Amino acid sequence: MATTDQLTESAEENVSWVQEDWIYIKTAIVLAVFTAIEVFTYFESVHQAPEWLLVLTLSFLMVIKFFLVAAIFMHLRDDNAIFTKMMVLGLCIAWPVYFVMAFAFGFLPDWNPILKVMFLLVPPAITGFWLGYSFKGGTGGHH
Amino acid sequence: MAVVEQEEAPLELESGEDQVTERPLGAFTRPGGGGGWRSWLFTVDHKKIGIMYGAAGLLFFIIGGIYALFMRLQLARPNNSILSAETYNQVFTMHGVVMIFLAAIPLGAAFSNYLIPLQIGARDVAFPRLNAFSFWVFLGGGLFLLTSMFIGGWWENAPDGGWFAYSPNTGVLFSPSKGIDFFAIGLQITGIASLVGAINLIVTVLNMRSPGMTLMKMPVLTWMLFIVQLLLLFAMPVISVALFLLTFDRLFDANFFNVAQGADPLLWQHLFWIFGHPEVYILILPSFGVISEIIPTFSRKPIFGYPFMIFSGIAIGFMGWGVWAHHMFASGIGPVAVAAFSVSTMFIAVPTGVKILNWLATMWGGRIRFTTPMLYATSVVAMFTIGGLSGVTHSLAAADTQQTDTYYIVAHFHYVIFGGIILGFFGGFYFWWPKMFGYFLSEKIGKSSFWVMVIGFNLTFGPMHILGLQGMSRRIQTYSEGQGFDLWNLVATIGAFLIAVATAMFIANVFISWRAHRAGKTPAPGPDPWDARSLEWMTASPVPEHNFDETIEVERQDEFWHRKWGKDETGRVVRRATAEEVAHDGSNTNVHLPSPSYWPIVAALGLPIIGYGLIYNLWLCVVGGLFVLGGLYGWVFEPVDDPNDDGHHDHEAHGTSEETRAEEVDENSSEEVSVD
Amino acid sequence: MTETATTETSNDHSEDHVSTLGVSNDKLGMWVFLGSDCLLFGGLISTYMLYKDRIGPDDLGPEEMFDIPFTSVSSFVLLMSSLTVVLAITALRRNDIRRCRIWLLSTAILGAIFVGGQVYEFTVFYREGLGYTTNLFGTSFFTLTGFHGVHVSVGIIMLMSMYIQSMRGKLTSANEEKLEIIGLYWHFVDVVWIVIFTIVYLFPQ
Repeated sequence: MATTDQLTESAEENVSWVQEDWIYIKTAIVLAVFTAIEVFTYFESVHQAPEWLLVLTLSFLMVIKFFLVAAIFMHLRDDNAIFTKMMVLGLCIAWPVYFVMAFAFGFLPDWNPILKVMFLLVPPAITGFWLGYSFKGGTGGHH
Repeated sequence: MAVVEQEEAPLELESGEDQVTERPLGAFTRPGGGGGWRSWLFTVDHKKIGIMYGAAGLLFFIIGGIYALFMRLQLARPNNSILSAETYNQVFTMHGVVMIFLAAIPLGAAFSNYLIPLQIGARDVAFPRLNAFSFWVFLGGGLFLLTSMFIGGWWENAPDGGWFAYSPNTGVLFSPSKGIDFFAIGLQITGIASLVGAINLIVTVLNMRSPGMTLMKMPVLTWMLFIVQLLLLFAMPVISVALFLLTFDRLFDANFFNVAQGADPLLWQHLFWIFGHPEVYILILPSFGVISEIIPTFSRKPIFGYPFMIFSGIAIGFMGWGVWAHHMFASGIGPVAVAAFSVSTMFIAVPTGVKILNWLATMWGGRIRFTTPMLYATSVVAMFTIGGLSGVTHSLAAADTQQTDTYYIVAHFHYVIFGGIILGFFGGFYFWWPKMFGYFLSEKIGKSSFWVMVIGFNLTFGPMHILGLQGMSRRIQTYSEGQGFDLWNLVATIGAFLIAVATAMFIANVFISWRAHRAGKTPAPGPDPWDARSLEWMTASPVPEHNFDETIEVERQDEFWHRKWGKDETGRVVRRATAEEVAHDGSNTNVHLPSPSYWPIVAALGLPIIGYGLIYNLWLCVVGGLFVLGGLYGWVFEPVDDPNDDGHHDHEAHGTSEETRAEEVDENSSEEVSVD
Repeated sequence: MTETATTETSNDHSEDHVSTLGVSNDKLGMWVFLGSDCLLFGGLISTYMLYKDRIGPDDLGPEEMFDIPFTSVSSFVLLMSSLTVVLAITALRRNDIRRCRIWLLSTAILGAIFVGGQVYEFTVFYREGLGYTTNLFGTSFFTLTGFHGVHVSVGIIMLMSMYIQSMRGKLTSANEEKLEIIGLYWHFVDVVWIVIFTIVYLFPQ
């Protein structure tokens, strides 16, 4: 359905779209690299590392990937703060609630209790920090 | 699944316009805006939807009340045999499910739908068609649940696992009838309705406020309802998960609650109560909001400590997520969890106490008028305090293990649910009735029915405290003589019938007052019959279809009050203007409104059909699926204009320029896409 | 990428109401829904975590079943589909319909490859003797990944309906917000898979 208008436009932009979208491509590369690292932990030599270390590393990478997609692909980085708040609200309820449920079941592996508390607190802390950051351009509730 | 719609272009739909010229333009016309039953079936007007929520909620309240009366009849005397044990199980389950999911939540939704847009000065909700969809989904799910009473035999297939349906009791092994399937699927459907409604109203509150209406200028009711929507938004997925697991277990032989495979029944309890405790606040906060409007109005004082009211509501909303396991103290969750949840439960009493104190302080020194709504509101403060105090006794785990599954628990939650919620809602009915329908309910009948109801309520549930502490278990079909239960059970039964009488008096009041109004015997209420404070009173009664004649610029909290009243030099409060001078008279007929739509009801109709299909015959699922798909398809390709939209609306009245609007219609006439 | 300012097209009484936050209702609605969906997947993931090890000593469990290299590839495919959908959105913003359509189609195809991979994985599991009802691991694994698969499929349907619109010439930069909303949903599904992939597949069993 290319109109003449679009044809001329795309002729101009033929080279430049990669540059314009470079931020997304860059993000995708970073995500791919992180995924590669994650998968790498599965293979024999690395897999022998202590369980808690593997879990910590993998969770860290997971959280980073999560926020990269949310911040850049989903535009939270520079979109209205209210979107971030809604998402973070969901996360801030979901994570502790289900984590406490896991606690009550005792189905968490038998790690150091300090580590368990860290697990409970770190993601909400990160999200909370992010929430604070999102207030920078916050328009919530005011004209 | 949310359906995100590209919203309609502004459309003309005159208020009070009667004639409908149905001009069928194939399958994709939009219904006209005329009167009659069509105007209700296809409406997207938040006020009509709110009224339908209220009517449906009241109907289900009466049905649930009839169940309760049968239970009380059965328990009136020892060794009674009105209901068999099997039927009794089904009746108490249906009573709980109907009252909580089909009466209390929708009555809250009625207030949310009707009042949120009015109180924030908006024309409608953010997604009018989604609003209609969520009502019809709710109604379909509710009726689906009720049909379990007679499908496959009279009281054979109703759910029988209690409203919280503990596994593995609800597995096929222990509950072989279809009842739990109806329970799980029916609640799943009403859950969709709540979720969709919550998304809609959250967006409305966040994004549709009139200019100047900051969050901290919103009325307390709107705030409480907003918190309720947030709770629904996050609690509904949790119960959805639980119900999915249960459904898969029963229909597809999954193992989630199959103890033989090593499953843990506590999973259900956790998931259910992670939903269930926020649910308690979903039920109570609307009523808190309602009385926070009534008490200042009839005390002629602003609400005491407005920010404290709001933040205690928010605190309740958050802390409500951290106390669920206090429902499970007797389930063996371990001492650490019990201790932690004990403490958090004691803490959550604090914000509620703040609210009670604020209501009392609002009344303190006020010029109180004890009208019917005010009577109900004050009774909420008193009754809820009793229920709240018995609730605090549950937070002591040692005491709670004695009270679990006794009538003490029944007494507690009826004091908060009936005393806190239902009484508050009746107060709300009396308060907003003139606004909604344009006539007063009789104060005389109202006051007498109030006293009958409060006395009946205390007679019913007060003795249950004693029964429970004497050791009478809840959910038992009968008891033998000589255990000391006889007297108080009889008293409770008498009380239950008094509540029924009071409810009947309310219904009678509606009709009697309406006839008196028709005969011209009662004065018209005018826009502001109670000298109230918030924006919904700033327009005509009943509210015209377009809500407000013009956008209201809000400067203060209680904007409407401040437009009516001011202070003179000496600081005395003096009237600056009458309500009639300030309020809009609804004469602006030149307002664009979203056009009604066939498709929400069509799409909603498919869900119960899918439900029956899952239980009885999978082919029915295909039929239901086609309804849903067809509904969504129609929804997507529905024209933005309605067939009547050609020209007869060129009123010269208020001159928002027609040209701009025509342009907008053009911009929007690209097809809508529905995002599932 | 932010057009927060005044995209009022979707506000149905834009002439007398400026939206309070300066954002479109539709987009806000989608975000609100996504926030709530976190709780849905949270519940399913917790259920899986609780049940994955509750199997008999000879039962088929995660260790025997998972084929990490295979799943890594399909995870990578889904990850890249997030890139393509964002490229489609920016192309549409530049009114570059041709490229937008290419990216749309490739997103849908990548998504379909992912779902296909999931179906293949399920079939392999089934052949090896792990059915839906075999044990708690099977039940909870199939439910969790199945729910995610349904989400992806719904996303594919939405992308394809967008693509069909473009075939009828109805796709213009005016529709950008629609596509962006679909994109949000798509990214969210991707994000959920990031979590599932790490927790379900990669955590030491």
